[in-house]
Amino acid sequence: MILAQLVFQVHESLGLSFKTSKELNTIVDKLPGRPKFKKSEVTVAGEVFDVWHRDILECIQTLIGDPEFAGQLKLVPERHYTDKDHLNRVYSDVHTGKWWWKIQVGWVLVLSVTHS
Amino acid sequence: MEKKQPGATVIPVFISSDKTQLTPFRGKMAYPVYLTVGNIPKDIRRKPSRRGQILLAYLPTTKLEHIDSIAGRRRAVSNLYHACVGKITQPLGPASVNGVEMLLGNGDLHRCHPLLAGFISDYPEQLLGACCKNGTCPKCTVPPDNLGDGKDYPLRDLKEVLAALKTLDTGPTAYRKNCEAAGIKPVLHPFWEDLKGVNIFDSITPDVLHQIQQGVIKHLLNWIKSIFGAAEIDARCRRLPPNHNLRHFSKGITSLSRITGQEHSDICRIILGLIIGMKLPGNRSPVQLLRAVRSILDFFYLAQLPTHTNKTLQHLRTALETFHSNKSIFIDLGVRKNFNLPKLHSLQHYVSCIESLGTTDNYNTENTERLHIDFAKDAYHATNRKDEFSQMTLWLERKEKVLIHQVFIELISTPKSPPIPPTAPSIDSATLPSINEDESNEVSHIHMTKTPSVSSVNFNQIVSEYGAVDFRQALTVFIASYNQPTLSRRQLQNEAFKIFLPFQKVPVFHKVKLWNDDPLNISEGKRTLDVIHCRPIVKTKKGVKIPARFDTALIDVAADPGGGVTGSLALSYNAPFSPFS
Repeated sequence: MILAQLVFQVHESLGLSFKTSKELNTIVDKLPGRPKFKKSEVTVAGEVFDVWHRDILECIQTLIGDPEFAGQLKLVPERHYTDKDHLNRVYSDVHTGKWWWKIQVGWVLVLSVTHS
Repeated sequence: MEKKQPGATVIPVFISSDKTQLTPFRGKMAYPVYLTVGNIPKDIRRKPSRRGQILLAYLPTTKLEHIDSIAGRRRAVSNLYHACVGKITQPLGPASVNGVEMLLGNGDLHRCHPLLAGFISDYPEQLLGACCKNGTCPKCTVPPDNLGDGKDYPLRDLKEVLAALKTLDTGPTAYRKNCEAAGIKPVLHPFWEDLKGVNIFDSITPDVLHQIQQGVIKHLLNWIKSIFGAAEIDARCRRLPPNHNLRHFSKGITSLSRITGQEHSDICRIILGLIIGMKLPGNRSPVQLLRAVRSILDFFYLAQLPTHTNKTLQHLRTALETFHSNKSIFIDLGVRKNFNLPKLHSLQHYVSCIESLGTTDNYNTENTERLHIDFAKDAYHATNRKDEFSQMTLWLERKEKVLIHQVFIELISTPKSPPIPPTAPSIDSATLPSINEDESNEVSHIHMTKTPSVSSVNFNQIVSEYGAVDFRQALTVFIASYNQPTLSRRQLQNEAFKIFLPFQKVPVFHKVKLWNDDPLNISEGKRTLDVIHCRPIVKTKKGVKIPARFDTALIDVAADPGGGVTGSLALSYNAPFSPFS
């Protein structure tokens, strides 16, 4: 009884909005977060398996929509050179590579080459 | 993409997966799949605290023990893998062709085309993902017996593979035959089958940790060990003087078991020095061996550069060629019969991958291994070990919510900064201001303690304990040259004789710390630190003698910058002191 009173006082005097860990979890659950996991079933060789996964497009949206990364995202491919004649190309981040450039300018071409 | 629908934003998707042990003994496994996008700069993606990677899925870890035949089980495992990953990545297919509208962090709406760019994993999983047979290269059509010849072979033909996959309806025997002809395993619907524009063989990325550190370097150490013998290598290891930034292997390196990547890179720093001057059996010339070892080390370091240019890539190519033209020494010495190692062959693809997707730190599996701690191991420990995945996912969701909330609170409690102007996406920015190579103004700093390590040491002790012979003479010459810097050497000597030192003792410092600013400023203010020690024998309270340590330092005395070693003075660093205190 005394203990219960003590516990009550602790949360009162700290000014907490929850009394139990369960209550805290319900508050946390109301916060915005990253995409929710869902359970899917996959059947292989007559047996059902569980896969826990998130929606991949929602994940991508979360990553590129994160305000923390705003202004730092690379959105277009670039070519960097160390010399005026564009002979010595620099490679570092993904957007400086050839893959991105190829996709950006020649998506139709890529599609027809790989999946015709 | 621009031609068909201008204004598209490409999202290069990187998927990494790796099985990991959850418990040390009971063999409980998890199979997390992580996702990140190439739009986020690599220095953010690399830091787990910035949360640039997201846990996409936990795949089932079953070994399918209910299937009796080993071949059938293997087939079912790869079918299961592709069925699961296919289910997860399925929305990417239509989204990459038609694009989806996505909101960026600054409020801009972009039509995004997410495309699988990189598939980051270790060798067994690369094979699993690309449906390739064990012992083959997941990127090219090299025959298994030619893995070590250092030549380039034609890349795998995705068109041919896809055509073979289309013949699934013709019956299992014909399907198997067609797949065999295309060089892949007969897997039912690989996950990349319907992902348009994705070439899985191209998106398999090099893996510095497993392919070089834990692969080629590990082999190399074993070869060296069997050439020279463990005893001599370990003895040389023990004899190495202690040095800052250099791990001292007091028990030698040959008896280490389960060597980590970090230990391998520590060994790489000393291995060339260890084997220089060792005698080869039959008095052979060691030149070829040294060249082979050195070229592998060169490759290892060059492959990890955070920025490459065409020139440095040429160095990378040369290093590999040098190894291949000198590797025959290992066969001549009888430690190797052939070089059919898939990991050695994989080095062949580094240059093209760096050109295509950027430098190797964009897709190092080391990052994935680090994520396991947060996303798999910590999550598992929060569960009661029963029906763990539902609890792990809930725990993760809650943890992410709390972290996001924390960032939010930090954001609203700090004063507002002016909004960052949005960068206009344009494809015309083909050339950027070129990097000026001369801009590196390297500054070195010296740091010493405020009070000396020993407050007074007399001249005799300096000679006997610190080994600084002729200290008094050198000090007078220094004072003379400090007062009159224009004097010739002869005049200095004369001048020095006239100087009378009004003291017999000097305070002595035992340590000098030096550091250089990072000239390229890539490691974000991290500076390379070096320490010079100079300390006589000390006795601890228990009577244990700690041996003296006098480091050798090269000091650049020439005024000409960039003079290299020619303008340097090698000296054993004896007793830094301050006569003016």
